Amino acid sequence: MSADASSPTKPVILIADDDEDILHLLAFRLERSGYAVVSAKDGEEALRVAREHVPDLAVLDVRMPKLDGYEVTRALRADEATRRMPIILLTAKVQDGDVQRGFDAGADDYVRKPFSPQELRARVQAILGRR
Amino acid sequence: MTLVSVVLVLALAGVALVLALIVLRTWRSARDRRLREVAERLRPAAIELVDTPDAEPPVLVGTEARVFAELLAHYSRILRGDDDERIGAYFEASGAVDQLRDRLRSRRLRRRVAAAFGLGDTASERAIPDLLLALDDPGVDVRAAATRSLGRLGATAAVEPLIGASVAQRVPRSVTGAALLEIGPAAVPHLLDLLDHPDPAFRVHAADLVGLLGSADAADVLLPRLRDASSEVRAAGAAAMGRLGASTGRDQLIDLLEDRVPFVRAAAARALGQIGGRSAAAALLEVARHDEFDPATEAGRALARIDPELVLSCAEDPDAGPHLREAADRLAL
Amino acid sequence: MSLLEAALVAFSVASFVYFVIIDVLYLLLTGLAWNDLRGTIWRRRYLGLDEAFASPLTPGISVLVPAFNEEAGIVESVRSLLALRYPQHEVIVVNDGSNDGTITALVAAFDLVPVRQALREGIPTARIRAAYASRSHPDLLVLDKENAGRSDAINAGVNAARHPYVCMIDADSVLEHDALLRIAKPLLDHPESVVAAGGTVRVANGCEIDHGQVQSVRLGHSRLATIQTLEYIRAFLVARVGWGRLDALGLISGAFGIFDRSLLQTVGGLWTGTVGEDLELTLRLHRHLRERDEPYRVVFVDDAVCWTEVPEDFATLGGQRRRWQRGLYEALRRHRVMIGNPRYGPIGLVSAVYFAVFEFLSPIFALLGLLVSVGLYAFGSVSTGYFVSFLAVSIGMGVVLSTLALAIDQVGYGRYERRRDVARLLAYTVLESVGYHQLHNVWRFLGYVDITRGKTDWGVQRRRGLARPAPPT
Repeated sequence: MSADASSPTKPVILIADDDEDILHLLAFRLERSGYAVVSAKDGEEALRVAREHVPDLAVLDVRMPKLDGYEVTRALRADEATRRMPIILLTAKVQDGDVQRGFDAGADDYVRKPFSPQELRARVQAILGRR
Repeated sequence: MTLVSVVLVLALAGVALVLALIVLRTWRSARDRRLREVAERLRPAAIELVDTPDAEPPVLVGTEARVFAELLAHYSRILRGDDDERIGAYFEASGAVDQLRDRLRSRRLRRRVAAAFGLGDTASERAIPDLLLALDDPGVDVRAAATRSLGRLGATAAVEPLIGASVAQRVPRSVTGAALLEIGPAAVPHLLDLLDHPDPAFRVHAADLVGLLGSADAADVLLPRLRDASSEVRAAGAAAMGRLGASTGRDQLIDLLEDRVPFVRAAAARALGQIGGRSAAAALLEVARHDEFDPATEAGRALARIDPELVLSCAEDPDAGPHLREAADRLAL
Repeated sequence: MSLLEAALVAFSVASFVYFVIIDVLYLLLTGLAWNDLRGTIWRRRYLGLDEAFASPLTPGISVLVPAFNEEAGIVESVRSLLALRYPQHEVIVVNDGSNDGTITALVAAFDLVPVRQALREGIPTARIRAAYASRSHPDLLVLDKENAGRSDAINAGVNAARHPYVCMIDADSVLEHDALLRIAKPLLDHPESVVAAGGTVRVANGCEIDHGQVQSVRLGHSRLATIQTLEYIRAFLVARVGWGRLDALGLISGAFGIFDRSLLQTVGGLWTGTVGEDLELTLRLHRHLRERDEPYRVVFVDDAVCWTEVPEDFATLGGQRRRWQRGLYEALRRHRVMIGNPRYGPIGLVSAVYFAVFEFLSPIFALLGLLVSVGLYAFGSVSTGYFVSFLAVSIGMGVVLSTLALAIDQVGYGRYERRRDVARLLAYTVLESVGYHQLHNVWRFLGYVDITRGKTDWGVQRRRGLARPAPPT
């Protein structure tokens, strides 16, 4: 799955989640807000898509098959091309250490599931506006 | 020879059964594929409905209506805020909520469980009174499903009944606990009352939840639990203090490092690490050096959070013990 | 009729009765399993696993992975274990003195650094040479231990575990993504009583496995693996479910089970002196708790699934079954007081008796009995009617029971999606009953030889195939 990522003016956002319904909803929402969206269904695909498209921001689910969100974050941080890419983690977990772990891996922000798409969009805008 | 024929008949019946199941299976996977196609086709409409205020819901019947409802239920599970409210409005308008409420009164257990569970995904507050009634259902599955749904709906009115169901052991504590956590801080006042329950298991449970949901002022109510007669309650109280990060409990937690029960000392050490403050360092150092495994390990880790330099400098002492050395090595990771 | 002939006929009749009893028992277990399925299959949708996953109240589990020369698969396996759908778990790999690059592979993949890990002195084990923590994965611990066998490695893992429950698996076990959450569910619901839980073990041979996960379920080409697939289905989805319903679960497979850690420490962990360590531990737990009159439950969770590779050649499989027979003997000898003893409840009265009579003695009745009956018929000492009936209860019923087990699998679990795989399994029920069962009993018989020779070596393949299924009839 890949959306129109060719337009040079629109910021490109990578969404990775193993739940297709979420992918479609977020893609719809973000495209409507003027972003181009590329998506991935597992951690490995996310990494591949991120390296290929070098998006302006990535929204990663923490719990994904093959590679989890922390690992993808860490791998992106280790790669010269994607090192400064802002990353927002989506997490369903509420354990004490998890948020910390996300930040340790190099994430910029996190959104807890169940989430409000408006809130996610606001975070995306805040980060991309900041740059 | 009758024995032989019985075995023969059984064998043939078994083979026929498996063959029939293979056919059934093929039919089912074809049906599932069709349903997935329908879902794929309806998804844009569902997103439109979730996303847009005043979106006109599509008029659907039969299978399509069912698949559409399942899609929305799925969205309701992962979304909150305005979108979730729009889903609730749809389910109320489509009559699904009332239908499920009726089914809660069905004579068949399966239907009641399905209804109690399904109402949690409708995002409709109208379901709450019926779900509260379902907490007294004779079937434990119905009660557990209703509990889960009340949590999903964030029903603050459910706090007291949920605690009641938990105390009466009509619903497993893990299930009511998860629901109360979803409902959030509104549950705290009632949980503080539960801290005085005669059964220590419930005092433990209350302390766990208060630690996760409460704010710093809950710490004052927790303080007496650090002197509870039950060691489990003392440990849970200490853990809750740590989660709240309430420094008011620090001195008592330091005292608790000398409790006679090892897992209480361990919980106290861990909590002190979460609360922070160097006044605990000396006592923690002592525990890390000389106590038995669990308290010493926790003390080492706590100390590493409070005062990393101290851990690094003490770890090479001859009497440092294994726990300080481990903590020091882990600091270097 | 000579005295010898009369004795042989009597023995044949005894073995006939033996078969009838075990057939009836298995029909009963099949009935219980059907019944259980009817009650659980629709409930699966409403288990509330999502809520359990999101809840911080869900207790932590330490997953213990004993590894001996696992260089090839260990990294994928650990990665997949770390990614399991469970809110709080750590993975402890215990390298059991491998002489390949197991440790090197782990160090490179997970950015491991040596740490001076503190370990409990609870259960005595061989010396730990080094411990490693991961820079990238806070929930991973690797212990490097001198070689002393799988049980010793697990014991070292128990000593290092931080969480209140431990999960024992094999390095080549492939857990389904939510297997840990499912197997833990009974203990979330009944934290006061459940002390251990076992999951279903299935045959992975032929399946497509990628990233430590089964991507697509298939039967392989190997005949032996296909027969074992049937055997495992019957052992887990019929027998274990049935035993569980009778509250008489006597065996939690070493390939996938969870245990209360402090209880394990109290009873001293796995016994390193046996090759039947999983059975011995399960019996010991029952014995310990029964003797103290503590209320407890040991449960079987049918939809928590672990996939494992089984031997595909006769030599390896034969060796495995001989070892199991010896392990069975060692476990039963240690706990012989339980056999038939009402003090131990259903475990003593039913399970232990079953293990002793229908598993341990099965070569005598099932194999010898069959041979004797064939001989008697050949010499015209018994009637055709008797002989055909004998074949019906000994072999015919084997086909019936396996077919019913396959039906249960189709209805309740349906992991095999391809029509031809199911059809092949159906055809193999015959091969299983005619040939394989008898061969299995030959191996079990050879196990007697090992026992009398006091064999104590571990065998090269000791880490393989710990997923002991119940025996065929």
